[in-house]
Amino acid sequence: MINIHHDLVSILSYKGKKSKIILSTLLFFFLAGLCEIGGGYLVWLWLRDEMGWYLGLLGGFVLFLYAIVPTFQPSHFHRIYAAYGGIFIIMSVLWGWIFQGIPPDNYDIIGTTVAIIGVVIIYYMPRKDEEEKSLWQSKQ
Amino acid sequence: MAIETVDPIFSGALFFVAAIMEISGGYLVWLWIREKKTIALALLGAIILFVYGIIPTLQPAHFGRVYAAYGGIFIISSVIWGRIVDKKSPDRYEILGSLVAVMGAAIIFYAPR
Repeated sequence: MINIHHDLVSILSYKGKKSKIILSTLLFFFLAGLCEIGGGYLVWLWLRDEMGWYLGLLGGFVLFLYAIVPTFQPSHFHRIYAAYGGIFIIMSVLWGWIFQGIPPDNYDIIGTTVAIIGVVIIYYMPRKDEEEKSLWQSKQ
Repeated sequence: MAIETVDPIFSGALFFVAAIMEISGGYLVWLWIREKKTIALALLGAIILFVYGIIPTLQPAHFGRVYAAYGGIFIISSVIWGRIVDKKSPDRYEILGSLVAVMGAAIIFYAPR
């Protein structure tokens, strides 16, 4: 188990093309968001929507899986986690819409847009003193 | 139709506690897998993460809105995380960007409906 994990980590930390790193990072974000929001939703179904306790238990397990996901990822520059926050917001709004049938209202849409602008400022604002590559190269 | 507002102190405290639990629970699991520490830490982490899943259910809004607003908290935590773990003071764009993101979360959560 530990060896398989180690191999996967080395494959995924592969210092390859930038596009490859971006793609695997996005995939991890999506997976992490799915486990975090999905696990939280199962706990929510148990306590707020008064469904079975076993859903809450399952939710706890999915949240544990969520914590395992980042261990496969090379430790990235912290700004990348700000990007995860942006993806997380959009996924949450979509989750509420799809699974609870509650579409975002105007304030939800405005707020989400403002938050994404914040992420873009953190992430894309060019800094004079930093090489672009530092945003993408994993720290070993 | 009455305009409903949310108590910012109670809900803000819940967001803050959730962020602390998410980070510490995740860190305990990380210690088990990446630092090869005892599995007892991972079990403790799992319990903390389970409690982390319970906290948002105390928030006075529907699921999607609670989680969307929490994403804004996540963004500011990532900048604080960079300060602590990467030992790098946030630059002006990180401070500005995280304030903008929190403002967005506040609009989502606290706009009177």
